[in-house]
Amino acid sequence: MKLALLLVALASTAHAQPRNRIPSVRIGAPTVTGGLAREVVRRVLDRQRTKFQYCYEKHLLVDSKVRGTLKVAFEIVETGKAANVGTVGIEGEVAACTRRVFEYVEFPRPKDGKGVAVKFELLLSP
Amino acid sequence: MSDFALHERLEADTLAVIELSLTSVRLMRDANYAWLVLVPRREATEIVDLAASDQQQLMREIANASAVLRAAVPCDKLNVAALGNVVAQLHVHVIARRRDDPAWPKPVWGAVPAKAYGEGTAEALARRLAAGFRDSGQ
Repeated sequence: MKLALLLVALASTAHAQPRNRIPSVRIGAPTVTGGLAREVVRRVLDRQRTKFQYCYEKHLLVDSKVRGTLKVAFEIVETGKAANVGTVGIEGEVAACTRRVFEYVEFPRPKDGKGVAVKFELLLSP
Repeated sequence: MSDFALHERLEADTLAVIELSLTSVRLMRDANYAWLVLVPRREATEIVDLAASDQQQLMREIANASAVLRAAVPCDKLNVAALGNVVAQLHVHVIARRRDDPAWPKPVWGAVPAKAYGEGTAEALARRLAAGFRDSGQ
């Protein structure tokens, strides 16, 4: 009986607490293959942080429990634009929205004029 | 302009982001779109009611808000509009539109009901946008 009362009390306490945590989006270290320094790519990715955050928060409106790792891969072409953007790990709004972010991102042009392959992870936690 | 008072409808539908030199920047409480509202702290209904210097400042602040919004959220197009058919107090909408948003390609007004943000999410977005304004020198 005491145990039951304790469980009821714990449950009601949990529901009473407001949810003030802001969803977390962490950008993992990128893997960069080609004519751009990893730090350069990292800086450009970091400038997109608020957009990645927005994408995740939009997804949470539909599925409040989604969490995990969104793996992103793309190519930086000779103009500095991103191309062939792909995502795996999580489907839906956050993936589509994240891919869209790269439509407008500009990286420095690769030094050798050849494509640069980039992979990184977004670590999502509600 | 100490007698400035935000219209009650704008007060209810938006939350504060930052105060610029002419306008109060507000975030619309509609998660369907990233949507700013700039309210000049003047007694005015139309842009032409503003002094010429305020008109120029409004344009600068609209451009600044557009840049901050576009840097903060995914955006295929910015919609900038001053309607005022329902709320006469002069205010300017700056809306980040996406090709997959629920109203695209039509205007946002009347398209779909407003969608509530998750708890604390609108406030967090407002803080990020405010930081964007501060970083831009405003």
